[in-house]
Amino acid sequence: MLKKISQGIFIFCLSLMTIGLFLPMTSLAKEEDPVYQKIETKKKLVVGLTADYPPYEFHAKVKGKDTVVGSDILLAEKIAKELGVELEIRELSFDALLGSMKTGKIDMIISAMTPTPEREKEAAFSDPYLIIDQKVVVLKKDQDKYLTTEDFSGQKVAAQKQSIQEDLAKKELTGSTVVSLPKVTDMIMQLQTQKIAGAVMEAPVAEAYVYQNKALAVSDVKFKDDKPGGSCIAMPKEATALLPKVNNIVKEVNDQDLMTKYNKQVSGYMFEDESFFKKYGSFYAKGIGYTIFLAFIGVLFGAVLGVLLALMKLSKLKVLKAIAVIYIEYVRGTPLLVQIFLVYFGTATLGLNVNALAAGCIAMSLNSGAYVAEIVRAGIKAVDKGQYEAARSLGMNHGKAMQHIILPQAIKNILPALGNEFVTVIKESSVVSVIGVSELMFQAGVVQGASFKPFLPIVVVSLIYFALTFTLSRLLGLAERRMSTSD
Amino acid sequence: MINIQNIHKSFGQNEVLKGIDLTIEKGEVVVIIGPSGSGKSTFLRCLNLLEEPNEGVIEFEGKNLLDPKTDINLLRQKMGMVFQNFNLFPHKTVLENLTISPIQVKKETSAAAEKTALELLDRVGLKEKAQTYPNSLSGGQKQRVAIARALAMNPDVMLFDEPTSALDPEMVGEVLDVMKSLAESGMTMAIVTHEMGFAKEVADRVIFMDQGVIQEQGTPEEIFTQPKNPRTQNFLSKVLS
Repeated sequence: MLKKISQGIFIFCLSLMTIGLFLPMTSLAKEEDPVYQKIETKKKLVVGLTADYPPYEFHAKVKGKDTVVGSDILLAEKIAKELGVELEIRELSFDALLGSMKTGKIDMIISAMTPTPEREKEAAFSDPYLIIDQKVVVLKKDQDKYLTTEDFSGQKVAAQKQSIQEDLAKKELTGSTVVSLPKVTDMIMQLQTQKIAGAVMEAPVAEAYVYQNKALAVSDVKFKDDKPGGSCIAMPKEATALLPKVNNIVKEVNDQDLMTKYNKQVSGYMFEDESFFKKYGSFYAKGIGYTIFLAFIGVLFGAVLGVLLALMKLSKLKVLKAIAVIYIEYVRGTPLLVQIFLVYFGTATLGLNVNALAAGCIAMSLNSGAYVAEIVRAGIKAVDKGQYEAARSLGMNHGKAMQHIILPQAIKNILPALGNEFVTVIKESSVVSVIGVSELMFQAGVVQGASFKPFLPIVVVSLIYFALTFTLSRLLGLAERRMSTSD
Repeated sequence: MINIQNIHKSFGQNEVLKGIDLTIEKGEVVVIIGPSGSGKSTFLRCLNLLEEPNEGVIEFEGKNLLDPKTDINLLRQKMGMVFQNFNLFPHKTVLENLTISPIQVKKETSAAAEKTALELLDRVGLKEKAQTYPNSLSGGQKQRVAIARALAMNPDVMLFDEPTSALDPEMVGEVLDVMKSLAESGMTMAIVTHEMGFAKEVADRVIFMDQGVIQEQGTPEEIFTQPKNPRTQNFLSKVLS
């Protein structure tokens, strides 16, 4: 599944669900179905989905207007028609879908959702309306080499980490080494550069990539167990009357193989000749916002922490000095990636509900603090010693001398270096993408997935990073020059 | 007023002060001379604990400075210090240089502090520079502001650490004039300097230091005309010729 659960939002959903439990509900008697009653009275079916998973649900321009389209939408339309009501589509993040249904904001979920034991605790699922075949994508020139599952013996094949495809490859592609990669785009990139011989993925995804790239082909390899899981419609548990009705429609859809028809119907939207930027510009724009936010928060709180640490390190009190030295050395001596995981999972271990964005901000601040501390310390050290002596000789205590005499002068030395730290933090914030904060690097990954292009989105994001940091360092240079002429 | 007994000070292995005893009376002007490296600046900086002596007693107005219970910040308010390199606060105006400590430390109102500051600036002939920043002043002007800044705390004693050594020759006079008038007003002063003419004219007592000890002390006439110690004779023959 491309839709990864961001833990923070998941926790948020859980709390929503808990609230949902306490909301007044109409009688739960078996014969009555409040959900179905509501649909009947309002003459409207509200379907929730996450429109980022072509060909099932995605955004496309229909007659110049941005619309959510996809085979799931056609299925939803079919269900609404059979029930004799109007259809309303409501877009939500994937993690928020179940919570929204619990709180009655939507009546059902049609979003290529596969039932898992956790999800089945929260909702009732229809029979599967779509069983997905698993395919192996290979290079077109090798298509004839790989005909059966045994042909990959001695070769490397890729599958998405912790996916059913990974299990399938390990079980059935005998003799091959399975490389687990985080994203389908990574698998395609490795395949194109011939680092792997094949990539296992869902048939519709495979077909989309092959359609996009003429050098690739779907191999004829067939798995024995090629029907693990399937997409189902989720409804509230109390929808006891609605569920059988939906199951009847699903049966009809399956009998007539309507999903195949729907997929063909929407495939035209998927590969529209629209410019890359027009299509994905908003993803990058959102990423820029988050990246700048992360960097800003990181440097701001990093500066506060840094000043504190610097003063501790310059302190005569051995204990304070030791704490500061250990902290600074430790943070500067460990990778940011590790620190992010420490904060993200560490806070969870402590029982704190910290979402990914907050964890990212905290990790960036803690990290930046150590570097800023050294900047501040150097800035303070660069102030002439005579200034401190003059202040003390006038009867000021250490604190007053620092506050009124040393720090105001140190700031002039610190600000330019702090600006450079801001530039560094912008670049380093890309690491926060690992915990699912939708900053630039994360968005680049999303675009990789949505556009079926593994390389271009990375080039674009590198240009954006460069534009950001270059502009910023120019602005800083300008400010620095202005400041130095002012004295 | 200041009573110093057996001051020792080492920087690492290097013993700079090897037992100094000295008493400075109220209203007295003491000038300390000696070759560079003799420890005279270190000694002066010990008087307000910018350097902490390794052993000895420094009594100021009846209180031992080296007693950890003594509030050194309180005593420093009564000891003005003027540095070789001025050490004016470059991010503050001349007026603010004078008022910051009275306002922050003595909790004077800014109106009262400014009034005193302007009087002091007038006294050193720099009232019109009140609103400028120190970097726009000449060396002589900077040092006059530094003296006024020290006086703004209304000290009982003024310490001068080679106040004219960093100045161009033509600016030495204006600073010495200010110091001279300060001496005439009855201020207690301890001055480390190389200006022998000034020492001769203004000092009540001249102290010759070398190799970390006081070699000889006396009135200016005694030291400059009939030095007894051969080291003093040797030093004076070099600087006066």
